Amino acid sequence: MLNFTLRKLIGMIPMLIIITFLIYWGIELMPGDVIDFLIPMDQLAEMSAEEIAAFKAAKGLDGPMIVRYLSWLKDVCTGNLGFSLQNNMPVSELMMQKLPATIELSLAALVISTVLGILLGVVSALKKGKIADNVLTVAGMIGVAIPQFLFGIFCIILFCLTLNWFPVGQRGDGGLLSELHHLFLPAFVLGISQTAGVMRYSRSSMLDSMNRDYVKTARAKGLPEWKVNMYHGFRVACTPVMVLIGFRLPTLISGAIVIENIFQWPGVGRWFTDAIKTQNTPIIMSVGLFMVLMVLLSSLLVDILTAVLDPRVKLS
Amino acid sequence: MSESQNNVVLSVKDLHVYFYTNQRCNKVLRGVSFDVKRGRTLCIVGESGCGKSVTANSILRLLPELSRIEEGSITYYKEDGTEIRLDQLEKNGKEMRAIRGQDIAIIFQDPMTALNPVFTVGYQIEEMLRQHKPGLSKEQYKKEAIEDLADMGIPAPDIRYGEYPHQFSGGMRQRSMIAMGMSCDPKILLADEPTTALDVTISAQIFDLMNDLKREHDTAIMMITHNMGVVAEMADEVAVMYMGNIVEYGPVEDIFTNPAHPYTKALLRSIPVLGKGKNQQLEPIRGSTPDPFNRPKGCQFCPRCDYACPRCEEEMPDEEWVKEGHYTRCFNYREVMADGK
Amino acid sequence: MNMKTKKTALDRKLDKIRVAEESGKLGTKLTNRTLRKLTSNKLAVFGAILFVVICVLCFGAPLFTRYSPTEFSLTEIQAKPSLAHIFGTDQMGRDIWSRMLYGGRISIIVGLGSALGAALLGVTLGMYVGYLGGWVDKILMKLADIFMSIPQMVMIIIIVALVGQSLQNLIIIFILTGWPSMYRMARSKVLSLREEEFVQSLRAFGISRTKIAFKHMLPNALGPIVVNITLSTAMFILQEASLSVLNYGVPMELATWGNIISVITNSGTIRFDWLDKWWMWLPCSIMLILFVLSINFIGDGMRDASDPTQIG
Repeated sequence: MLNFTLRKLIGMIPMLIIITFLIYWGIELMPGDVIDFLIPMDQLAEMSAEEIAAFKAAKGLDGPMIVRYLSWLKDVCTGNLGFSLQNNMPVSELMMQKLPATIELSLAALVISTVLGILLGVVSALKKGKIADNVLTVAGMIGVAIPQFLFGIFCIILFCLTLNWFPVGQRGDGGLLSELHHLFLPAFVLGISQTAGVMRYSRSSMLDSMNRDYVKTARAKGLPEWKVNMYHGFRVACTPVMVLIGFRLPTLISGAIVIENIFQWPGVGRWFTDAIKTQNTPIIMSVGLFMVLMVLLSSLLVDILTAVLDPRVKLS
Repeated sequence: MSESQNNVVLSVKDLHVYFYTNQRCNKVLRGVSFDVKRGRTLCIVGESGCGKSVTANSILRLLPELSRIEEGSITYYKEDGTEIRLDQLEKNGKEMRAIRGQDIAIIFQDPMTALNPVFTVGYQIEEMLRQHKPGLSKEQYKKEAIEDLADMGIPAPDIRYGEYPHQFSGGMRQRSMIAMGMSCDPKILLADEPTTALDVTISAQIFDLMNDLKREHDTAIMMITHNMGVVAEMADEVAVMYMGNIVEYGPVEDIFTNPAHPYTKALLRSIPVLGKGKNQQLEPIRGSTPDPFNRPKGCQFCPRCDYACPRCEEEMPDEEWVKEGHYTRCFNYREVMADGK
Repeated sequence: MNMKTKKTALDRKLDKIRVAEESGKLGTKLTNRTLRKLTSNKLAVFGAILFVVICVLCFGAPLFTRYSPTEFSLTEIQAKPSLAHIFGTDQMGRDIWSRMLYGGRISIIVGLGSALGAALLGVTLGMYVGYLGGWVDKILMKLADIFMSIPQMVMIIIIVALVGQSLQNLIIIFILTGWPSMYRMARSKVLSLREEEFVQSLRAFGISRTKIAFKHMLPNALGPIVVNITLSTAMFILQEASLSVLNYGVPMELATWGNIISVITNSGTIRFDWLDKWWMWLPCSIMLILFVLSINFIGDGMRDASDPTQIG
């Protein structure tokens, strides 16, 4: 297990280098010059070519792209994420402020979608063809048909503006209750749009498992139905569902960007879209690195989880 | 007669089971009757699709969702004399579940898929014990499960106990299935083609095991097979099935030496007999099994039968007793029997 | 003794089939089982009707509206729905119903075009390379891994910033981000088909590999591919809308469903002052949701119908 994890972690390094290089290259190819975003137009017009070059050199914006990428890579390895081009704040410090909000939101959404999705999917499978199944199926389809931001807007109109149950956006003031109060709605909106997918998949996975011979064996033992369903049916069905949830994490992160914008959630998502507009490379790179790392780590987690859940799978 | 009556543990009468898939009604069983007796082996033989497995699954009420017992009765005679109509119990209800595993156990065809891959073999045997012998301690369950494995001739049972099905070979898995089935000393063991997925030497071992169980525990065995060789080796009584009916039923010697149904006869002619030399004439049965949705009007075997008469095309023959304990569904059975082999 | 004391709904349904069967009404069916399962799936039929209706409305737009989607009138800014403008007008006085119909054209083209493009690229590569194996397969698999490791929205945003906002660019970007999942699916299907005996025997007959891959293996993989195309179409239409909200979609002057709806947001955040001007965003949202829903119903129905393990 440890051996496998280490090997996988080492295997991630080239992947990370390739992906961050691609992103860096992407930013580089963006139309427009960073300097336009850093210095007001009228000042820029007055500056001489030497002054601009000196400014760029001071910010580390000169030299060939490869050299700058490598120096960025070297800095990251030493734990230095660079400084925001806009206000010279260290990115790592900014990350520390914003990251918890995003992690909190994503985790809460992950928990909601996993628990709700599996629960409803299993119910749907066990009640196949009955009213509960049909209602859940249609509800799930509507769930995936509504764009996340619209669902967010609907929820804000209903729960924040009409019913006044939840505050709009922002994080809480630090108290657990207040935090949860603020967190619930965005996490719910982000989670629900994932739930539908997890539910459909749990349903088909559960149906598949319930059709297997070992379920018949379990019935032939005289086990009560709930034991047949949960111990034998569900236990096998949950492995592929876990894999799906792992693969879906990138979508969760993509969704977080939109939801953070709608709910004015002070996480990295909003920060990231703003940074792209001003070509703030150190921030884009740091957030990008974080997101890719999250995806790679979660795929590792899925591998390990699969091996734990299914004794037939060997980690190698 | 009364003595043999007492030995009957399971009696199936005029059983009709229909399947309703694809918006059609498939009459899989069309009136099946037989008795299973204590300490005896009944072999149900027939080609695939004739309804053998459905019969076994109906007894334990393990039929799929879109299927139904339409008519007939399945009666289980308990040792204390009470009769239980299995066909009238709620499908997965409490009474039915108390009988499954405890009184009637089943072994499925494919040991590769019948064991749950994510639980240890020991756990799956223990599950049976916990269900039907509640109140024992954890160690006692483990001890019993290991004993059950040891009884089936599984080497190093205490290690095997903690292993998963994929670490077992096919024969070992089927042994553990039997260990599981026998763990609560059932009165009846239903074996649904238990050796089809195994090679010949392993299946011989499995049969020996089942015969031992029958002798030691007086278990009634109902064995389903398509292999006449297995019938010869295992059966006390034989029921030959064709397209949802038992076309001939009787003691194994009668069936083999003096078959009274053209289908039985054709089946026997189509398999080689050991010791008869290499110049045996093997005759495949001509034609093919009819489409279940487009059945012959009268006798189901009529289109493939050498003895068919106009009457056979019109009506299905009833069960006619050739002699005590031996019946056939054929109008011309006398002719068939007189014809010799 | 009465055998069955009460009959469930299922029993009644089975009784009906049995009576029909016994009266000989159920002959051999000429129609395909998959097709019959699809047409007996009420949701799928409903979805198909909805899909056709919306497509007819959008592609026959001039028949259903007299306004042009770009024609603005400064005297009728943010007008409420009326007989003249059934869904009112927007902040530039453009007729919203007309924008919804013409915008639908573009949204549908973006969704369907991207899905078909991604399928064409992914499936062609998956079918051929997956069958041949070798180093090309290894490289493409790694590439698909990389593409799938970058959160899609991040990648789309960066590429949009890179190549600029336009309709063609958006479709190309969607194809670029959509092909890996198609590739993986086609490849895994090919890997299992490759071991089938009919493929082995074709190979033994000396039939060319290209012909085996596309003429014999592709039809066998078509079911899941078609389902995947429908579901990706829905996904791309939703993504187009999300991108419009973040101002990364099709240029604002072009009407698309996403662009119409996104008036309710201002670079990502909600414009609370416009929430009560519901006609500017709600009708179009409902149209988009209905369209995506119809595609999902069809896709789901097809998946069920093509799945032989689902009896019925």
